[in-house]
Formats: sequence, structure tokens, C-alpha cells
Amino acid sequence: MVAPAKKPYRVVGSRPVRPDGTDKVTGRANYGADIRLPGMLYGRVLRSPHAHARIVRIDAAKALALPGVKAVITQADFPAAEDAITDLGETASNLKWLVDNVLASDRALYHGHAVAALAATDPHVAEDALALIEVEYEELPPVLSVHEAMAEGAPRVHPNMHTVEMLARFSPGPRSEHDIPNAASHLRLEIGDLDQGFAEAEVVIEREYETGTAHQGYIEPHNGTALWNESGELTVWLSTQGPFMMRDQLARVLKLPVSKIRVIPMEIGGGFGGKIPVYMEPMAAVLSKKTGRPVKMIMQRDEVLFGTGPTSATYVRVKLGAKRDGTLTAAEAYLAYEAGAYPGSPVGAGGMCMFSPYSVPNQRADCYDVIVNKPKVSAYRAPGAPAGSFAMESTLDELAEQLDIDPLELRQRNAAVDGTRRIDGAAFQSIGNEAVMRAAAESPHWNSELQGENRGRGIAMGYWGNGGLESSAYATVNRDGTVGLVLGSVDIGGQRAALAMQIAETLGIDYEQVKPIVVDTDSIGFTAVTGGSRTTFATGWAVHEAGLEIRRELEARAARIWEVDASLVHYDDDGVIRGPEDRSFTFREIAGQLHRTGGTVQGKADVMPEGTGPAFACHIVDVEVDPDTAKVEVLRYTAIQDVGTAIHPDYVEGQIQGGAVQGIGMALTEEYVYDDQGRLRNASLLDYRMPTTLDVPQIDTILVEEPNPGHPYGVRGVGEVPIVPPLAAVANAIHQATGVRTRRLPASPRVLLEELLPEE
Amino acid sequence: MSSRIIISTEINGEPAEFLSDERDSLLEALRDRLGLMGTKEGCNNGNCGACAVLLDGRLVNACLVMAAEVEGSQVTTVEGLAEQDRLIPVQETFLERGALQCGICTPGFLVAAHALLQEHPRPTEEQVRYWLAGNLCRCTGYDKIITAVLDAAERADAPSG
Amino acid sequence: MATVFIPASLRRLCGDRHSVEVEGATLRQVIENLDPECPGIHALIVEEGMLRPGIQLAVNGSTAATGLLREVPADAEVQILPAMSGGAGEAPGRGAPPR
Repeated sequence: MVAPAKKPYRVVGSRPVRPDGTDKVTGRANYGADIRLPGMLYGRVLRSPHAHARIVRIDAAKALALPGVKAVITQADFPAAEDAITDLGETASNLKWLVDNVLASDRALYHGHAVAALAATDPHVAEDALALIEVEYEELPPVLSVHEAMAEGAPRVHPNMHTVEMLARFSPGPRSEHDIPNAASHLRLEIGDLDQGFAEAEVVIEREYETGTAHQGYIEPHNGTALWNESGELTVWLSTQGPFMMRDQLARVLKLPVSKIRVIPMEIGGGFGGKIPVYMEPMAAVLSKKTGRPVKMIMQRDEVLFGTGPTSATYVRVKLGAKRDGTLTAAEAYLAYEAGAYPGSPVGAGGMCMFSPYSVPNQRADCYDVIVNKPKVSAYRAPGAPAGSFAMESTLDELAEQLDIDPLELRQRNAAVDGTRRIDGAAFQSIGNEAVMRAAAESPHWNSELQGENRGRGIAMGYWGNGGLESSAYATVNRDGTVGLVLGSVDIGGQRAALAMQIAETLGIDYEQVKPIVVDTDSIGFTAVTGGSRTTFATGWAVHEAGLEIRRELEARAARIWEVDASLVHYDDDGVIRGPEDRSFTFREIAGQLHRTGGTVQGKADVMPEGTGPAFACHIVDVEVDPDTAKVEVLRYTAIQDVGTAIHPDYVEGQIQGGAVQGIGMALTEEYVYDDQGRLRNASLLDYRMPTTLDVPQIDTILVEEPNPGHPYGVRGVGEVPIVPPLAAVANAIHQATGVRTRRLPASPRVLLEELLPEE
Repeated sequence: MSSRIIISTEINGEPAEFLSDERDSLLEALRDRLGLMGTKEGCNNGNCGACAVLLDGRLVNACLVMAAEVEGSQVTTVEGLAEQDRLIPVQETFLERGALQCGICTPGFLVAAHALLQEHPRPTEEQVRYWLAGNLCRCTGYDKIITAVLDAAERADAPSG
Repeated sequence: MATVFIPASLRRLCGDRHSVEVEGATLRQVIENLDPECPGIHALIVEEGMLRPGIQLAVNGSTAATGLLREVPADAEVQILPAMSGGAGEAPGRGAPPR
């Protein structure tokens, strides 16, 4: 396909102020925690102090006796969930696992696993009452790493679970020939002939890597307020990336028809993939049903770290074969990702993405999803990709060193281009990979000289596939010439602006004429989550289609007003409707006549677009490593990315900058620290150390715009890929600065110092 | 059981008298007793800065101050930054520079930036980073926030027309 | 003819072939025509006439949004993939809610 020629857009590419901006700088915007309802109760959750324990007995009598406490629930208060595991293969949607993760049944499977919940008239009373719930535990041995979990004879977290082959997993019966303890599934991705590829190689290099558990770290804790009314209708106000996904999950857990559930998305304070699963919402619902009053639940920060999805800790082994000129002939990986207490790590995506920036004819990735006694992981920005890419990009760096080839040059020689096959066999179309590498090679940063002792420069690539999925939108023409734009996609980082800009472009009107609003699940058609780098792309398609329908309707209306045949009327891209004999309407003019000529005009669309257009990024970083303390300072950072078309460049740059800094956090400071009993020892934002203003420099961005032919404005998802390259880029820079290859991230001073200090 | 106390204070330039639980933090009092929801809770233990307010002109985290402590004091929250119907420069530059994505940390950053600009009307980038180091933002990587604060300083400096 | 790429875990059904060429104007027809070549593969991919949850099909590199209804152009390539979520895909527990 030929990329659409860059058009001189009127609105797309400009940087207007976001529609929700004023409310967000004045404190007026309503987030989930800001809901207050008459008679509202406050809910709290009791969590397991053990990583693995049988729950022998729960006695809530003392808590219930405390004045102000209105109800206590355990999992027994949920409708019984059938366990699909015994007769069907394990699937990611096993209802019992979903319910058990919300509230433990007979066993607590991780430190912080919810065991009971209560509702009281006052938050302080609720907190006091938690301490009065008596739980008798019988401690069980926890498994705490993929190595421990997969060892022969390891205790099985789920005794009936056997390793299944992904893709074969949905049929009854076939298990993997190799049943590995706690490995919920194995997925093999493969193209070409690996043995032949290694036979052709003149150099072979094999290395191992590990990454720690990192949390999404959104600043707004999870929250949910539920009202289950006397007619059996449930309304939930909350912060979520996906109101419809939340509705569906609530329906399954509570065994309610979706028509009985209304999910009202409030403003959301960050998600990064972590605000998709249900956690407290079903508890709030059941507590509301029990008490007949609305129940509000807000997680404390430690609960967010204990009880919501971080991303996987990982082990990845990479083996590369290459010719002396750097041509890659074979690439093999073994990936084991922690899933937490229930299956569903993003290990497949790790295997899928790590080799994708490169053309390698023979590839194989063996991906294992591993159960451990830690919180169930959830999506985190390009889920699974950063760890796999850390392994690949570090090994490539070492290969470049061995072959004495510039690391960027090595990548350029092997760059995937249109037609290159990925590990799943699909051939790339219209990708900007080479353009990104070229922009990196030409960047001021790469061409500058790095001076000073203990300093090094690193470079790494990243790939992410991006999502499409379902989106709905409708738009109404108001008589004052404005357009009301109704959306099901929650706005987590400027989506209202990016979507308003696209329909303004389609209609040839000003951005300021569009009034976007995000509505609840009763008010628009199904719309998938804001996530997966899909919203500006897929919901952008929807608003464009809605705009096109308005154009057709207005052409028809103008024809009727002018009493001419509709084929003689044309809505032009400048927003002017032109007919025969120089007749014309501006958008405002015809909008003002609508209600007297047949009524309002609306456009609507429900889309599920293909052609998402993958994303490639290249990051360059300079660091300085203190030889005495091993503290790594990031001196300079440049992120280059193919963004398709930057609808609102500020928010595109913002996505890149934010993702890069999250990646720097994974590379240097962020990690869950467990003791040998599996208790999380750093469940606060002081000890779980996310980058602050003092830890990072300004993040320079270079936007490469290779329009995606699969979108009317050439949009490619941009949000996720920026978190992929930083891990290896930083590790490669540390190597240049110190000579040390950090194969375990985060490269915290403790870890790095061990490498830097001369051996005793 | 805890008891209730009456607290008299001045919030955003207006006298305020309210009934509070003696265990309430200033953050809880602002949000749950007074309905001032602009001050956000991110961690409730002083690590994220989302609840930053000015207490007698000093930058504090409202979650680390007991409500009872503000008796007789002046409190400024994000709701008190704008002047009547006009945003202050740093609010404007946050909007113009795309310095917020999800916006949950924004009130805290604005209050902290306001405190900085009161103290140092023409800060260096290093000063901005130092003053905002107690505020976590997970969306932006800080780049555009730093730029917005530096821009605001310039704007406040410029002769108003 | 469409070329269907067989994922590693299903190649045993297809005599260890990496790809199989079959006729079909839609993915439904392609998968039906694939079954005689790879006995049992249809039942792994299709459930009650629809794509099983957790599996996706791609046509010429694009994930088929309409599932088995997706048209397959002449000489297209078809991939059978596990549904991978990028924060957008399958949430835990996403499936048909009760009616």
C-alpha cells in the first residue's frame, strides 16, 4: 500500500488547549474519588499478611459489633463461580480465577490478597473495624520466582494445573508433553529453520537477563463507588480505562445481565494498563446490596502496590547467530514471565516483539507463563515488550562490540522493512523502522561527542504492534454551528482533544467548534478500553466516520433547501457546502437552518478498524555512573519514534516522554522487594522508587511521521512503544560508562556496586 | 472512638468553620468535610505531593498535616489559585504546553509551582526541578511541566498589556 | 489460494508443515478447507460457529476485526495467532456476560 501523501491539514498537527483543561488546572474536574452520595458508606479491604496461606476461619463478629459498621463480606457473598479448569483447558477468562483474585476463597495466594471487606459510616471507623476481623491462617510455602516455580518438584500453586500449549489450550485434553510445575502455558513462536540459521552463523552469542516487578504507578489509587438499588440495578462510578470492560467483568462476577449495570466513568488519574481489571468494584457492589446504601471504596497506596497488577518479573535467555559483517542469521529466545497468582502474563507479547525491529530469517521464541505467589499481573504499557527487548537489545550491543561494528549501524544493516516477516509469520507493511533508525543516526544527540569520565552512551530499538478494537462515537450539529461529540473512550491523556481535532478536520470546522463529552455505558455503544495505543487510532476512525455522515446529511439538506439534485451539492474540505449557481453554505449557516428545515443532523459510527500500523522507536541516552556509589545519573535523553501523523504533537511528545521516564524507572530504580517469605517490603512511593524531577533530564523527542495507510489521517498508536527501548538503552550506556554489562534490572546502586567493586 | 472538633480557619481567603474528626488529616478535612475535591490523594503518606497546599504560605502535603493543626491558619488550595475569572500564568502555561495528561497530579504541581514562583520569580531549571521533586507525575516525564513553569515565570515577568 | 501459516504448536496436525495453501473467500471457508489438511484444526479455532476467544486470525498482517466473516483476498496470507493484549485486548474475565 502507498502511504497517503501528507496533506496540508487545518487542525491536525496543531496544538490547541484541551477541552477539559480548565477544569483540570482549577481542581474542578471530577475524578472517581470525588464522588459523594447521600447516605454513602466507606468500604475497606482486609488483606492477607501471608504470601500463601490456607484461610481456616474468618470471624467478623467483633467488627460487626463496632458502632457504624454496616456489613462485612467474604467471597461467600459472591455468586458461586464455576471453575472451568477441571474440564476445559485453562483460559485467561476462567471465572473462578477472576473472582478469587477479587476476594480469596479458601487460600490467599499473595501478600495483600483481599480476604474480606466491610462498609462503615465513616472512613476512620472502617479502618478501625478492619483490625477487628479475625482471620485464622495456615501458612503454606510460597513460590517466589520463575526459577523456583518451574523447578522439578516445586510446590504447585494450583494443584490441578498443567502446562498447556497456547493455541491448543482451548480444546479439552491436549496438554503439553512437557508438564512443568506452575507453568500455566507454553507458546512457541517460530519462523524459518533455526538450526540452519545457526549453522550459517559465524558468530554465536547467548546471554541471560532478568527484570524485576514494576508497577504502573498511576498517581490516582483505584476507587469505586457502587449503588445497588432496590430494583436490582447497579450503578458504579469509578476511574477505569474501560467502562464497558468493567461492566462485562462485573456482570460475570455478580452474575447480572449487563442491562442491569451502568458504569459511569469519572476522570481517570492514570492507568497505563493497570485500570482495566476489576478489584474492589464487585465488593463495593455487594456491600451496597447488603446495606441498601451507596458504598465508596478507595485503595490506600500500599493496597495499590500489594493488590493490583504490576507487570511481570522476568527471565529471558537470548541466542543470536550472525555473519562477521553483522547479518543476523538466527535469533532464539526462552522467556519465562511471572503471571502472579493466576495465569495471564504478557510473555507472548515479549516473544512477539523482541526481534521485530530486525529482519532475521530464522527465529524462535519459547514463552512460558509462570504462576508465583505474587499479585496477578495486569497490562502495563506495551505489556511484556520491555523485558524481551532489554534482552535482545543488550545482546545486540554486545554483538556489535564483538564484531567491531557501530551499534546503530548493526541495527540498520538488519532493519526490518516492508515485507520482512515477523516471528508470527506476518509480513510488515508500511513501517517506519528504517526511517526511525535514519533519524537517530542523523540526530544531534547521536552526532554529539560525549565527554567526561564515567560516562557512556547507549542506544536501543523498540517495537509494539498497537491495537484496533471496537469504538463508538456520535456527533450532533447544534444550531449555533458547534458539534457535540459523544464518546465512549475515557480521556486519560488528551484524547478529547485528539478526537475533537479529527472530526473538526473531517468537517472543515474549527477545533473550538467541537464539544467532546465522555459518557457512561448506557449512553453510547460498546467502546473498548483506552489503552493498547488504540484510542486516537480507532476512536479517531469512529469520529471521522461520524463526521462523514454529517457531511452527507448536510449535502442532502442543502440540496433540499436549494431544491436541486443532491448530486450537484458538495461538502468541501474547507467546511463549505457548495451547489450550483455559486450557492454555498458555511457550516454555521446551514447549522442555523437545520431546525426549520427538518431537524437536527447527527452522525454516528461504530467501527472495528484493521490496519493499526505498528510502532517503532529508537532511544539514545547518556549516563554518568558514580564509581563510588554506583548511582546512575541520566544526563541526556533523546527518543525517536514513528508516530504516523501527530494529531496533537504536544500529547504525542508527552506520551513519548512519559513512557521513556517509566522505562528509565524500570531500568534504574523501580522494583518490588520481597522477603524470603514473599512479603512485599517496599509498598510505598518512598520505597518503590519512581523517577522524580531530579532523576531525569528533559526528554528530547524526534517525531518521524510515516503516515499509516490504515487510517484516514495516518494515525499510528504512539502511547506504548516509548517504554520499550529505555531498559536496554540505559544498560548499554552503563556498559559504555563502566565496562559492566548489567543483566539484571533495575540497575540499582546495590546491584551495580557488586559489579563495580573489585572482587575480594 | 474519636470525637468531633470545630475548626476555625481561612481557606482560599474566606473564613471557614467546620466540624472535623480529631483524627482527620487536613486532606480528609478538605475533601470529606469541606467538599474541596481539588486537593488529590495519591499516597496519603507524603510521598507524592498530589495533596500539596499552602499553609500560611508554606508548601505542605495536606495528608501530613492534622486538620486540628490548621486552627487559626490560612490555607490555600488549588481552588484558590485562580484570580476571580482569570487563571494565573502557571495555570495558563500548563494548558498551553500540554503539561498535564491525566491531570491527577496537576493540582499539587500547580500549588508547588505557585509556591516556588512566589519565592523565586525567575527560577532556573534546576530550581524548578528542586522545588517540584516532591511531586510525582507518572504521565509526562516532567518535561512539559518544567517548561510550563519556566514559561510562567517569564510571563509573570512580562509587563501585562 | 490463501497461504495459511501454521503456528508451531499446531504443526503436528499438519504433517509438520509451516504453511498450507487452501481455497476460501472468507476466513470461515479458509479454516473449513484447512481442516482436511490439518485434521482437528477447525475444532481448535472455531467454537459454535465463531472464533474461539483467545485466538485471532490475521489477513495479510492485519488482525481480522470481523473474525471468521473477514474476506480473504486472492493470494492472501493468513496467520493464526494467540490473542495478545496490549492493555487493550482481553481483560481478565472478558467473555460473554450472562444474558
